[in-house]
Amino acid sequence: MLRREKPITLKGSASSLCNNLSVLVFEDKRQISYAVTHKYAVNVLTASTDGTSVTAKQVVCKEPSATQGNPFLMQAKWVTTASRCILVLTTQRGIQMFEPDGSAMIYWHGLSDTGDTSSTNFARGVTGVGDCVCIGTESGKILVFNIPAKGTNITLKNTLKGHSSPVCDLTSEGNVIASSDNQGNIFIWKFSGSDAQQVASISGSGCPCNCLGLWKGVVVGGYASGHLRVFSATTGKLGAEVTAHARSINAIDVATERGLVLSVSDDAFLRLWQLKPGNPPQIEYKHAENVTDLQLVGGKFVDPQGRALCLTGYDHNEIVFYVQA
Amino acid sequence: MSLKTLPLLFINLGGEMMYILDQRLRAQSIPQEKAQKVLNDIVATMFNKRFMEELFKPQALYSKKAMRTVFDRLAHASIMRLNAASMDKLYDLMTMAFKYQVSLCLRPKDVLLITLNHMDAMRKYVEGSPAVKQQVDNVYRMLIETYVSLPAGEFQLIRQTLLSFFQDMHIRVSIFLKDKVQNNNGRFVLPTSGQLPWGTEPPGTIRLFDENGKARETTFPAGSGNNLAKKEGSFDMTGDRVTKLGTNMYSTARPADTTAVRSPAKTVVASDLDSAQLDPVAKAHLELLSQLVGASVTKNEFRLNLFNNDKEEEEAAVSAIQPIQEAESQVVKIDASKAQKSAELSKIMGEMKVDDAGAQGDSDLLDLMDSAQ
Repeated sequence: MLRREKPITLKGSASSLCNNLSVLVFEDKRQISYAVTHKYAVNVLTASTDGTSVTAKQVVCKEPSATQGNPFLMQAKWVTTASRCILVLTTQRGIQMFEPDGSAMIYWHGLSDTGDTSSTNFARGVTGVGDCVCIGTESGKILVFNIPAKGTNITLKNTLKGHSSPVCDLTSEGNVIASSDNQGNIFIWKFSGSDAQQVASISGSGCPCNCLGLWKGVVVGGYASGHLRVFSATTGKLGAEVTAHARSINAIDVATERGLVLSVSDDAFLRLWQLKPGNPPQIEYKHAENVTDLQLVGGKFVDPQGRALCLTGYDHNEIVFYVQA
Repeated sequence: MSLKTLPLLFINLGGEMMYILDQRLRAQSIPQEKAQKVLNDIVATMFNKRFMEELFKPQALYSKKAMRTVFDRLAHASIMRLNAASMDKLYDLMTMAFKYQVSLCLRPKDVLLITLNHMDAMRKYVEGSPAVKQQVDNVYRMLIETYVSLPAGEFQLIRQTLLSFFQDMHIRVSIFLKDKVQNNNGRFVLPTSGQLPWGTEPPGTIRLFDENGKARETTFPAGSGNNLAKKEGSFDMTGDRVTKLGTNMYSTARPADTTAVRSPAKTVVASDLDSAQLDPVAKAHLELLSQLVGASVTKNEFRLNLFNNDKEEEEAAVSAIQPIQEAESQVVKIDASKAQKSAELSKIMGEMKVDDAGAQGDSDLLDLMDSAQ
């Protein structure tokens, strides 16, 4: 069902971080960009859809005070709001936002105000909703920034409180966002402008929910225990539980036109699933591939139909591709 | 990045160092009394109370360079001396062994069990010395207090931080190559079946719930041979750690074989800025360590060789200076059938064989030792 395609070589290997792959498709320019985190830098690759040209760029997170050195990166992700696309880098000490090609930094937000190196307050989990970008933090808060259509006038509009442990991942669909944390708790929030209301909560069992997908009112979470769980986004009710992987699930993605789910894990397997909306929502197994000796840390569909997908693995400097045969 | 990672990195690397030194001390027939002194002195320095207290404060990891310097000092905390080539090899073996353990551990909290395996072995090394044993017990208590109650998410971050320290290190270790747990490109082999992490279920089941919460089960093919974990490892001062990771892999069945083969060095990644200079915190710790080490130096020194004999060690020292690019194209394909082999290749092939040819070289070393006394 899947055929392995020629990989693209990165300038540096992928770090062992959850959700360590972001994809941005420029349909008009027939180009796709990939962002993969390597320790203190993000490697951004832009390839034409026919694969004939690849350009590489490295985006480094610079700290305003040079004394502390470069901060350790937690995540790099492109976010598309109603009026704009930006590249968000989150670090152990703050948040930086760039133009989508990584050329210019447009905003910086420090999280560790004490300035000493004996504490961190990292940011992790990024998603867009309306004109806003939401970013999770180690303290459990979710920061809501307003993003103007142009320029650098980005402002912190709102702070959502609910999580009591570090945020792992955020995802959104329409005006709804889902957030997960280190304890495995998931919250569903409904947005109106930059205001948000918590509409459902799902209690975890202490095992981190590393990654989230949201599609047609269905929430799917990937856990460090290897479980996938499917919930209703309106009620928070559990619809299905899958013993999906033998190790931690590090990333999931949903192909928005079909509801196909990709899950990748430390166990070197990628697995494909079909979501079935309903009350309660369900899930069906589709396919699996073993990516030999690669602890998978990132996985994304390239197109909304889920015909092609790409993967990254710890310590490996290639983006691996599979297409539906 | 977790600020609680440094003690675990240090203790585990230290534990691996002790395994290798213990094995080499015996392979070189260093008199029991001297060997025991070396083990005691190094463990005592490693677990010095003040040094440990500094180490357990929340902080970022040392840079790779600083960590290497710390272990250079530590290895010389006793009457044993290592030259640069042996020290390089020792450090390569230590780091790759711990990288293997962190990479292969079933769940992040196993890193603590690996640490306890190393602690158990080190406690055994110093059993005859009550003062040092007390220091070791103190570190057990610090470990248990700091780590046992940490949530799974914090351990996940600790493991990710450790893996970032080891990222891009692909040194091939002959003991791993022989066991077929490492590939020729320096990457570890990941099993697709076998033991599952504690507290998880074998893949292959889908539970579908109806409106009333009643479950219906279906299955999917997820491969077979996944074994449930029967019990969790013990996080106490003593007990069954369950995992074998972190125990001594150089034990009786596999003697004098501690060969590391450096892979062709890749271009230095521009973002790897951490090696540029020593960070101030690491520097302060190094100074503290220097004071500790300085106190215990005696005249009764001997030299330990990490290679089979002095000749190999000299060769390694020379080849380390040669441009690395030279070896690059040769290391990828190992074809024993071809008559025309590079010197580098025949060396690798030679190192992969088990033999006791090192014995003559060792006696030279003993002579050296005698003359030094």
